[in-house]
Amino acid sequence: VSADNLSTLDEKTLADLHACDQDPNGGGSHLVKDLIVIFHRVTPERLARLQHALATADFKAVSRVAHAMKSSCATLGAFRMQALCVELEKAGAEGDLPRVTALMSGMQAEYAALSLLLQSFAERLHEEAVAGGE
Amino acid sequence: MAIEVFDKFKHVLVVEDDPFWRRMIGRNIERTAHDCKAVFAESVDEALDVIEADGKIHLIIADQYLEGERTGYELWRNCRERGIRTPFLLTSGLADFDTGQDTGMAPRFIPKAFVNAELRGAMFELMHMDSRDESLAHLVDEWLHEDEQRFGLPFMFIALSLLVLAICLASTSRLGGEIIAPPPDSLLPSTINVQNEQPGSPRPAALSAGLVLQERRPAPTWEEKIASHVRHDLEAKSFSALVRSQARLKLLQEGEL
Repeated sequence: VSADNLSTLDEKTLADLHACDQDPNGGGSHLVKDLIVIFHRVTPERLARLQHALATADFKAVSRVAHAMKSSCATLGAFRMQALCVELEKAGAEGDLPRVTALMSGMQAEYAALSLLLQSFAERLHEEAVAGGE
Repeated sequence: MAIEVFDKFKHVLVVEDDPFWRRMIGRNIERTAHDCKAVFAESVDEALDVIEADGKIHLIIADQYLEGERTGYELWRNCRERGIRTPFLLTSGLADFDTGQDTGMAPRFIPKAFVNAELRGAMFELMHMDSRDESLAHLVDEWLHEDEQRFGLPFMFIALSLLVLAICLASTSRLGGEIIAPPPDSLLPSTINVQNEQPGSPRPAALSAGLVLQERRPAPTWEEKIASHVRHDLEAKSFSALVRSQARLKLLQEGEL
């Protein structure tokens, strides 16, 4: 599936994950919020590693970092970013420099958009938790 | 709600270098049983240090691709070589990497993009192994080490025969009942329904002998377990698991189970 046809953030995936983590005996869930915080912490670092790997033509590192990113993107419902990671992992494995360069540019822009949506979702979760008295 | 069967398992070693997945798996462990504790390691070497220092690890969940050159699969092999037979769950973002699945010498695997129910289900299955399963697994591993190649295609025919035998054994113990399979993600054990038994029909020999049959039992019999295992093994085409089922049947026939 082309990344162009996928959404930046599928909120249903996040909402389902949040619902799965609800404690049936009461109490709130911080899993999704924690995962978003971790994602925001590690992704810029990984994008920097990708840039360094591209600058040094280390395609093995490009593949490895893209591979590490894709599963967390899928879990958060960031399906366009996940698709870009899949394509980048493949391009890296094939040593396709023009493709890697183009995908890297797309990933930077995609992360900027995704980051805003995730932040917005986390804020709504927080507001709901406050309103629910958690 | 915590599942009581997990309560005897205290420490789950999570070998993962990605903080995102450490949090995700750690949370699932917390949710699986209230007194399960996650212990974390980021590399194979660190995991081996933890295993040697902490003799109470009851389950290992390891990512395939870790920082450094050594993989989760190598950790599993290393544990086996050291005689450590702790249940092992391997995860990865790649669903088709080669871990030796073709030889059957591989740990249980689930892909990394698992949802919570998949992870908890796999944990349940691995932790549900009792000492008899472990001793059989040990026996089978020894067989495989002795001569991995002695079984070939004919083994599939043996396995099919075992399946038929297991189904026969299961059917004789069901007293005309019907096995109701649990839903795929359910953690509940299989149940048995005797609604097919008609009033006035001849009572089965087991009832005449004084055995008490409850309308619904919480756990399947050993025969049913074996039939279920063999069916699962055939579907999964797992070589070592098939051998394990063969061992189960052998011991069952010898009255050791």
